[in-house]
Amino acid sequence: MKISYNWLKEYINFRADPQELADKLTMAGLEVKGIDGKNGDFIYEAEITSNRPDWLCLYGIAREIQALYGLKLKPIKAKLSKSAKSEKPSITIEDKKGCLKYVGILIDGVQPAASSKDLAQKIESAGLRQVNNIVDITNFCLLESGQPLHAFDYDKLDGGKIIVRRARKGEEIVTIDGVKRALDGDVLVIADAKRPVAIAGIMGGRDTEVGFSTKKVLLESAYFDPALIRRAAKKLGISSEASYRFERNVDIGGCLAAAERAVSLIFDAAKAKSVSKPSDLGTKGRGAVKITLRICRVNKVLGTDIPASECASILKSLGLDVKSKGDVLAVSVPSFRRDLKEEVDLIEEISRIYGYDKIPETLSSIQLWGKGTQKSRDKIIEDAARETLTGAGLNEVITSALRYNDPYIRQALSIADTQVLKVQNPLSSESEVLRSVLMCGMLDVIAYNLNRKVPDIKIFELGKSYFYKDGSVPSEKGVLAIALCGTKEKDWHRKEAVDVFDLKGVIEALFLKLRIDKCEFELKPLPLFSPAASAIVKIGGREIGGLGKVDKALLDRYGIKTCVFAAELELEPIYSHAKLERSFSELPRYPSSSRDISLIVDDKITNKDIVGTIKEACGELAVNVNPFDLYRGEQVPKGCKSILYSVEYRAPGRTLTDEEVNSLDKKVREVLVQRFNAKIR
Amino acid sequence: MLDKINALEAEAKGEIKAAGDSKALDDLRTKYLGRKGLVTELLGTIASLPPEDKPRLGKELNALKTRLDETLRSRQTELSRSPVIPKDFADLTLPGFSPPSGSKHPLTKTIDDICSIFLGMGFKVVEGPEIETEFYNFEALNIALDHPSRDAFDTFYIKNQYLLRSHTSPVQVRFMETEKPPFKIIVPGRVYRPDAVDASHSFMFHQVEGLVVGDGVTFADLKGALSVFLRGYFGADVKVRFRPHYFPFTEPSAEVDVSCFICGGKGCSVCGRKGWLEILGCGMVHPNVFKAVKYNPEKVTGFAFGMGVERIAMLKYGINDMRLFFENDMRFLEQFR
Repeated sequence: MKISYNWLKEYINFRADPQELADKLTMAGLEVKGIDGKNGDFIYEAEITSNRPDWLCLYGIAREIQALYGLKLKPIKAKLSKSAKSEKPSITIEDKKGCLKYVGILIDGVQPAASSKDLAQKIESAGLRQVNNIVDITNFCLLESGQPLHAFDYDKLDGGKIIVRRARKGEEIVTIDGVKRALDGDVLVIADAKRPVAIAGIMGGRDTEVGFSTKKVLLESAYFDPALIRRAAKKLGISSEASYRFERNVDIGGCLAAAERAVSLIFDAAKAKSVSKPSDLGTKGRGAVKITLRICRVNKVLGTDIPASECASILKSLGLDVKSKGDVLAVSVPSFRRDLKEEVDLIEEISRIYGYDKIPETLSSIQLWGKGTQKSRDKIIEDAARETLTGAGLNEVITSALRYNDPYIRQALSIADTQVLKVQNPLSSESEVLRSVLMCGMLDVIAYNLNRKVPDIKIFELGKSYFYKDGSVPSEKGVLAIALCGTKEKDWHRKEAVDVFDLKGVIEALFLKLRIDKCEFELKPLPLFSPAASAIVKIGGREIGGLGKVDKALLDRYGIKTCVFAAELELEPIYSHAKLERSFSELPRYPSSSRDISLIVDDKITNKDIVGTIKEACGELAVNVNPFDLYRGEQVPKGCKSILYSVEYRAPGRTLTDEEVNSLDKKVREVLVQRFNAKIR
Repeated sequence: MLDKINALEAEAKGEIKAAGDSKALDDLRTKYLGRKGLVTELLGTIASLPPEDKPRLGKELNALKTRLDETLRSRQTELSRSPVIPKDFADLTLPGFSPPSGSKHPLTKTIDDICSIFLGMGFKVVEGPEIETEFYNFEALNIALDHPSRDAFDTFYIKNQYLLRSHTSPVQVRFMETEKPPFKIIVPGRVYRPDAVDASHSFMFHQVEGLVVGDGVTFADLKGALSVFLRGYFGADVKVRFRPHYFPFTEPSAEVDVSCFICGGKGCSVCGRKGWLEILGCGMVHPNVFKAVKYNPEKVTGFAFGMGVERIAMLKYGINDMRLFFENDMRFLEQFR
């Protein structure tokens, strides 16, 4: 809101210069975001929080200045010059819940003209445009007291009637901005005998607006239900000075006074002939709100020692009525501060005016709670995972959880369109659904970097994917996604492209760090991966995700021309199987012996098969079985591979003799030949 | 005697200078400083000198030993710099082979840094779901359906009452529903609001929320705890000010500013010439929030606060465009290694 510094001075006599006053108001919660010096005046750009509709006017701000500086407000004068009396206007409130109060006054024989220089300047200081002196005075009063007013050209009201009712389906109105608007039963309107002439509390109609030819004016000052106005304004897509105030609550007790003030000004400025008595309909206004304030509570909440007398004088300076009863204040709140409803509201008022800066900084009792490690187990595991992954050279990325609803992905993953979590009010089709997988975001990042000539991309994300649990409950689960492309290391002398084993190595390093030993990699073609390199990952027998070489057809969709290796794993099973504790196990006391075996086997025989067979043959004596070379090519029959293993033998309680080791080695060779038809070299 | 010493030094230094390789230097070391070397020999003669000369000359000789040793060493260094290129020569001006090293995302780093200060104060880290209901996101937090205060919380809806949380505050409610005070929690998390993406807006962003509840928690404690945090995070010199503000779930409420650490409070483009940077919102937990979780507001009081992680990271690292966080350019991410 724009506030004129000079205009404020008409209501209260303060000495503070513009910057000083702005700082003081800011520190009382009325934030002045900027000051604009103009024509000898200073216009504040202020941010008014939604709980303070009383600050949406000059007089309300002057009231705050009264409290801040201990000054006295000047009353607003509404002295009507002697005038002839005309007939009271005919007003009916049909929707008594929507319109709690309606004051109408007729002013006859007006001669509309341009506003005086002073009035015009004030209107413009608030960023409003001048129209004519009658409309300008209604705006002036709105800015002065916060009460929106509307002036109708009375002669244009059919039947000379005002009816406050809900709009009927099919009714329309052209508002003063020239836009034709369709109305319905959710919208409260001011109607004449035939049609809506204004959208209540939001905007007047063009047909009945006051112009230079207007002779007779009906002035409206009303109180409309804030929620109703808010819903209607949202629905119609209109936000006006009036609706902004009505939806925040105007002072129901100030309707009549604001109307009388406007009438007295219009009467003089537009040289009117006669004025009617007000038609004052609806509630007479609820009485003052009574709140009991305990001084001990004030100090208990604030951590202060403010005496009762100071609390009382602060509340009085804000215009509240206060009676002291020892440690308790009986406070009665006038209608212009309807935001004050309960004790805590008054505590806030006291703390604001007392000054937040005067409240001490303490850590009293709260210091004593919460000893020891306060990180949850999951958080500690997450940190360890992040540390391992960044230590492996991966950069952490954060990609958008809201994405395009890609039919290609849905089809590949066999996810029905109804099983995708859609946002009802998306910003665009690019962010219309919550992701089912993280892979697409990873590919976005890779494409983005490749396009910027950054070729080595090793990334991970600890994010969430979203799904309907039991088919209907929107749910989420933690997921780790990893993607690699480019060269293996940053060694400038040796460029070697990453492959799927770099990816697997990262996962193994993570599992090792988290001491997850019940994990298995099982070959299986997965959607979105190339059938040549794809496996599922299991922990404790449960499938938790997969890894592999990303399918070329998918990469093509992202314009990625290089190989990408990716994995996606559920976090919950990883977290629940992780072991954070470390314990020492005795180092082996007896030496081990190793034997190498070189064999040629059918390509289909996996490492898992071979290692399993060797271990099975030797029992606990084969402590380590590791492949150390793999060859496919000319030297080896087609469809076969040559693979070398090193087997380390050790007995727990003694040194194995050469004979024992040799016999174990022999046994292993026999079993391999027997089971896999292997050729031992 | 002194003359002898000087002559010996001159001779030795001359020979050392002339030595062409390490072998020659080793020989010279033996010749002068060895067990039977010339200097050692002279030292042996001290015993036969008049007592008044002994200390002075002994000192001289020892000093000579040190000087010759130094001369030998420096010649050795000179020789090793000789232009002869050995077989295993390494041009150490070539870049090294860097071990793998990735980086945490700057937002994660910011969250971790914020949380670690609160962990040090005994806060517990708690998290909650992103998919929430209207009850947790609004009602239980005293945010009325048809009130303009709801405008600040524009929200993505999914289905029925389900929505994407527009702030981390629902976690407060979830925590209080199951736990008893006293407690101090800190809640990092991802939140969503339908804001069009530009340099300072994103429909997905992060917050860190805090909640302290117990008997006798005061606004003064709120000021104390947040000042400890802000000075810990932004530097011991920053000034902190609490400004009254409005949030539906706290009362009294405040916005907290720190003096601009870029211009030192003089006013610059980052702080909008005001000298202050708005960092977080906070306040005393509104009695209605306690009522919603069946706490007795007469028995316990508490404070809550919340801050935007992106904003803090942007200020801390001088990042001028929020989109950088979600584009994940490797060259951006690697700056935070």
